Amino acid sequence: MGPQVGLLEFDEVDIAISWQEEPILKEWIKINVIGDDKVIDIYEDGKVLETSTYVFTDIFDVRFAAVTGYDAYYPEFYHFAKSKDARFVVSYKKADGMAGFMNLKYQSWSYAQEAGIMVFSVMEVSGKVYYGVYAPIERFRKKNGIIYEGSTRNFMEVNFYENP
Amino acid sequence: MKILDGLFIKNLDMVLKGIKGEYLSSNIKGKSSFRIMSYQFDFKPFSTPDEAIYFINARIREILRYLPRIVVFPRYTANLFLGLLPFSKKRLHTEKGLELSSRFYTILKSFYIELVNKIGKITGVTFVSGTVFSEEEEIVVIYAGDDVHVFTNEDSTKVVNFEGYKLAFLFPDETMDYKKPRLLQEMDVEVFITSENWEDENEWVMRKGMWARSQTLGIFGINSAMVGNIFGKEFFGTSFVSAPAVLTKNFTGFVVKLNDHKEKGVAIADINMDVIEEYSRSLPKTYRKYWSFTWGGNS
Repeated sequence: MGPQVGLLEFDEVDIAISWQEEPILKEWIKINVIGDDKVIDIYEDGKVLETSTYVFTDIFDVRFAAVTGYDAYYPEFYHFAKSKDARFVVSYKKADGMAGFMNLKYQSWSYAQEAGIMVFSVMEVSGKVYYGVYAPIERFRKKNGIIYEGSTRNFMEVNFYENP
Repeated sequence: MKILDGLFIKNLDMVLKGIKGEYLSSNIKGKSSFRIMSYQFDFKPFSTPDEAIYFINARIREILRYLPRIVVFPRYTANLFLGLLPFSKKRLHTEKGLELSSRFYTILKSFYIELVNKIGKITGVTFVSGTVFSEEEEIVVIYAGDDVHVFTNEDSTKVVNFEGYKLAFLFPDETMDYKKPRLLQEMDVEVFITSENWEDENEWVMRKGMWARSQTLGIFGINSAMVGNIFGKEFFGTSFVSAPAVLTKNFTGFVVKLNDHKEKGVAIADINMDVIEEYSRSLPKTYRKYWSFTWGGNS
């Protein structure tokens, strides 16, 4: 017997995060964050709320930041976001080849550890989109700080009220 | 403590007389590619002066064999010599060991600075040695360019010049976020050295310091770890040389890393300063717009 998998159906999605060329844009999703390595669009209830290289937005009293461009590469932004009470950061980056991909993954993991904040990383590597979700080791049961890594879309439930 | 001031140093002088290190420095200076040796020691305090002399002698011979330009010993190395005090060896593996270290701190410090000076002169390499550790203060001793530099954990920057480059030592808490390394990067520091060890055996926890800074800031990092039972606590660690993943073999972010978290060993790596400088130049300095936030509180 291999590892057991439980599938959970989500009837409501509060926030969807995706890459510009593979957008998840459904009207029933409250907040849509769609970006690439140059710009981010935030949609609320299907309408564009903001377009910028970095954005702070609230959803149900939970503030988050989304970032792209060079800002996404520097730890300064993740500490800045934390200081502005953001509970998580969505970052968009692009790289070529396996070496660049590993660089992006390690950086995102490191930002989560040093700033003590969850990082949802959307990476386009040689034309393919990858997702990585990282959290501070101390707050995560698995003790490696990696919540999800993969190229398929993933649903997850995070309680930011109990895990600030 | 007479044994350290008199007998030990005298014996060491006699042992080191036959070792010639001059050829080493003249052979390897002036290249942008150079070798690093980062030691990992198990905390087993010396029982006799002979044991200590054998230990130092063996390390010097290794250094002369592998011809590095930077050698790093971990924190607590000087505390190994406290084992030469009568009835002290067992206490170094209990909480009382720290008290003992504090009581003999001044003597241990002056003795160890003299020792590093001798090893530095003999080998002719840049020699970074952590450290005398006590309840009040911790020091690091760096032999570079024929001078001995002594820094404590109170010094805000611990930077020395070595052969046209700058090298900085960071105490472990300074490696846990970007602030101090970024400040030093702005001062053209190329190589960062620390001595981290952890009470947690989880390798991911061990990656949170210097390894993570190499990935996010694009720097060469060197860690030298002291493992084992130190003053009543079990410590794990791994000695390594780290760099941005894109510059490392198999993209691990490690140029070299010892795999055993509990045993002694030495990590040896060749690094090229031109490569890291080129990588650094490829990253725009847009982070400077956050300086008022970083250094002046929230903006």
